[in-house]
Amino acid sequence: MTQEKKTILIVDDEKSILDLLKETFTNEDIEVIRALNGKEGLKLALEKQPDLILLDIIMPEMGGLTMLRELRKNEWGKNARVIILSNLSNNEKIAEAVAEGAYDYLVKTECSMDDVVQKAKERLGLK
Amino acid sequence: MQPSQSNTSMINTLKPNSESDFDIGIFQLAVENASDHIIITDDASRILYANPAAEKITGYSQTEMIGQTPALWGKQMEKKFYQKLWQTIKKEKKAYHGTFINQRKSGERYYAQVDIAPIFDKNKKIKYYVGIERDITEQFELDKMKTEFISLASHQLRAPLAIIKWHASALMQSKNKNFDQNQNKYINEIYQGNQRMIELVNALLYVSRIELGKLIIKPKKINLSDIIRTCLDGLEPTIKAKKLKIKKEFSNNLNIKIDPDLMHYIIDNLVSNAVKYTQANGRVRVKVEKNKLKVIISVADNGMGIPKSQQNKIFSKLFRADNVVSKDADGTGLGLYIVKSIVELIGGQISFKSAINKGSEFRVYLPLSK
Repeated sequence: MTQEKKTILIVDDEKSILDLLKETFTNEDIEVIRALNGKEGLKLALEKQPDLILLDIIMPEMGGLTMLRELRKNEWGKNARVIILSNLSNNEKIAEAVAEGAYDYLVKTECSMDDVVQKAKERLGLK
Repeated sequence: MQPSQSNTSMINTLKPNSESDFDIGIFQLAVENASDHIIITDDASRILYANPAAEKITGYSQTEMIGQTPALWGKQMEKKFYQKLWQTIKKEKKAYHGTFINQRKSGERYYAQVDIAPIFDKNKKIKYYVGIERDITEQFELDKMKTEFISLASHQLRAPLAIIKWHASALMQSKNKNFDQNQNKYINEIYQGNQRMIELVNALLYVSRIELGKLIIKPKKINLSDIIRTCLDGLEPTIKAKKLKIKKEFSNNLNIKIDPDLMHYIIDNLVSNAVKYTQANGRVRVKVEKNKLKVIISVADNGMGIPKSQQNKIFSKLFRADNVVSKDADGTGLGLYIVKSIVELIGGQISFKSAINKGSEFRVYLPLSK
């Protein structure tokens, strides 16, 4: 029995991180959609309805937390699965993200690529 | 503005039986021209005298201040703050030093460094109070800006550090093992160097949070022994390389309610210091005692020790002892400063014993919340 391929939307303004994550998730047989800011991310999220969104916070045009708030206003987006992947570790930002229903909050310098893949697979029910 | 007649006579009553009017004149001139705000009140804190700097800083004229209490520009802080002040100057009859937030006549708030001292009569009864205030708003704002800058810069530094970390680790894990031994070593060096930078940035972020009063404590139910084991596991490569003997004197069931991240920082710092500053084949002991009210964590080693002449500086920011600097260039000098700040924020205490070339023992006492 073949399981339907899962899709992740990664929203990050750091292109090299996007590319590396895409390569890693593609190797895990997960489809990756990429966006370079919150505005683009919001549009793609509502359009493609991915199984999981990996979301950075500080980005040009629209930041991650604004995107998350906008996403929650949408009928589908209300329950979309979101993991925050950021360089920020302020308690206020974490609290804000959790209040908006983010599942996990990962700080990039404090976790490895394996941690990110593991968390993502866990949330996708692939573990 | 010239002092009113009543102010001058007030100063005369304070005259310390001086021989000549010249002396009192100098005192008067000094007070009149001081850049610090100086007021004198009676025992019920009614203002009898205020110098021109007090007018300048508070925005109230002498006429407006005389007969009033300093609450005219004060009263901006919590009640308990003023209770402590009164307890000190009235009950304990001692001088009080502190930082206040006050309000100028214009409504603008300002920070003041305040010294208030009681003045006694012959029978040791309080007769007057002298209050000296210095407007430190500018200095306070500058300090805050500096700390906020460190916080912002540290977060910005993390972006390129994350890129280096992830790409170096991708290279290290690469299935394509075309690298020779040297190349693998170089990649490992890049990764390790970057890790040091990440730790430094994290330390700077801790310092800025502590100094901005933004360190948030979130106690959770945890097993302390898990945290200690995680810290020891992280140090395993160094422990093995140095052939250190690790003695674990703690139970596996140390369930307590405490902030896990802060606890991890404290233990990781003390244990990695012990491992780092103990010579090959040395010993490190981690011991935990716990009762209902508190937990005592002790980390001891038989390593380099701290020179006696420098022991009083060990918790100062950016301090590193001479014997350590000469042997080991890394280390930020921020670790123990952060540890002490965290321990005190949680309501605990930290102490140590150390002798050069014999070793050190750090003990952390933490109160337990229910």
